[in-house]
Amino acid sequence: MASPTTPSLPDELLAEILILLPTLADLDRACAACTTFRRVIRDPSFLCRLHALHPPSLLGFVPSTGGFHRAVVPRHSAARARALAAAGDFAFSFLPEPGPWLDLAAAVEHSYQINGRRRCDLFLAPCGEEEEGTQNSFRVICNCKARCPTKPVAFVFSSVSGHWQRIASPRWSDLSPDMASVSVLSALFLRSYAHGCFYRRLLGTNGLPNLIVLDTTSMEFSAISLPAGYRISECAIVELGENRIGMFAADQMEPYVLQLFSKDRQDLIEGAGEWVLENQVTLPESRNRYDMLGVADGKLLLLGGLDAISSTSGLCLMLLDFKTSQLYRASAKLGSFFTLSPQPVPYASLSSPTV
Amino acid sequence: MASAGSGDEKAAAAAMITLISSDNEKFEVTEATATLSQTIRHMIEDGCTDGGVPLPNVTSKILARVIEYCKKHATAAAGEEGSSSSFSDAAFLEVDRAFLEELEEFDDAFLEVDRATLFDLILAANYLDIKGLLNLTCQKVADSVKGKTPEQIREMYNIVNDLTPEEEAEIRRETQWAFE
Repeated sequence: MASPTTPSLPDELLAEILILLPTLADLDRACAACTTFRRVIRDPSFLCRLHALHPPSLLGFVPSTGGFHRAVVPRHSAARARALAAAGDFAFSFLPEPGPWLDLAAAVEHSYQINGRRRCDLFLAPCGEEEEGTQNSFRVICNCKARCPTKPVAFVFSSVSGHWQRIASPRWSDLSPDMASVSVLSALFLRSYAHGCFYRRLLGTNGLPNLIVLDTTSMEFSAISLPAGYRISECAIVELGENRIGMFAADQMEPYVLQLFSKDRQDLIEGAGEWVLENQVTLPESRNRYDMLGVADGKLLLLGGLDAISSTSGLCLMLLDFKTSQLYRASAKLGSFFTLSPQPVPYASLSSPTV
Repeated sequence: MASAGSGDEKAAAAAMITLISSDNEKFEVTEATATLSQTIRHMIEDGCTDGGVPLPNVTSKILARVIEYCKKHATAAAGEEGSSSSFSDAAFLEVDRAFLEELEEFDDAFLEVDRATLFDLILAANYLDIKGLLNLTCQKVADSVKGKTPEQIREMYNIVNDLTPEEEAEIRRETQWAFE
């Protein structure tokens, strides 16, 4: 900002000023003013602060078949979604060539492959606090969906060390008596991330579902129980403020009734206390059942029948706002069914869903 | 609620500190005023303020403005201490609304300076570690940038566009939504 009349400010002070800009659009415009502004705004530590102040909003979906599907979002976000669709690299050409980060995953997948079906789940996790890394460092966790008669199996790759490590996992029976003799894990369901932990539901032999938790700080597995008296067929975990965990759940008996339960985080860890029913929303009946995909913008993302919100048939993505009990359409009609995952942007996918 | 006058009298009895600007001008201020600056507070705690505090990064023109800010805000803090046994959030909430409004008016008037002075005040607030003044001045700049195009920002702050046309085109393509 050198000029005869204006003294120049060091980058740290420019950052203090720019972080006060109220909207992301203001920052994008400032970014185009000069190289100094661009340098400050694109600095990873600045972006971290920025992402904390401006939680990511749902802009679209990346189907496993590739490409980018814009979400039906408010006007200002729609412009951002268009820009993202135009500028984003959804062919993922920025990913490194299959190197150490993929080798083991492929090997694990090969050795655990059953019936030729994909049995490995790869996902990104933030870097551990104990690891000295840049703000862009990450971990990749490889969770095997395979037949694991005795214990859960997972491996973690750190971008800092460049190595894979096997996560020490206790036996199913040590995690929960309900899982004493897990012989077949039919499937691992929707994975949610909240408060630094990944949550996933699985079925024990007695048919009782349990939540298995992977703490990304300690890299340890644990199991937690679901609300008593319900036969939960699907659930997604969210953050409810600093100290509470929330759970969207659908009961097998009433698939069109979704419940939001909550529990104190500490109680959850210690296995104490009960889940509290916070809210209940009845969805319109539909020819297709609803599938939970995750949580975005504080709303539950569902894949369901179009006929639930209009008279046409087909599948579409919907957002359920638990505060207002309103169901919104989140994307255009999907021509055919494909698996959708959240945006691959690390900041976006690692941010915790909150309500 | 102590008035501004009685606050000053009360403070006058306290120890005085001499601040020396880069152009060697001396300013006598009360310790209450000076310690709004964390930098000076630490110097006082370390006992290195005898013979005055040299501030080689701050001109007399800017230092005078900074002291004006600190006096006003130290009075506010002193008024607070006078009205309750300890300065607490609860006490802060009970502050006379009129007094807060007066302080706000003072801040608004204080910020009516040219851009060069504003930047000098930011640098001084940062160097002297005066959080309130730094927030106030940074917010003023941020408010002026809000809603502006890159061209308007450059013009306002005499910024030379040193992005290559290709770089600028790339940023605009990536952030096109911000220009709609």
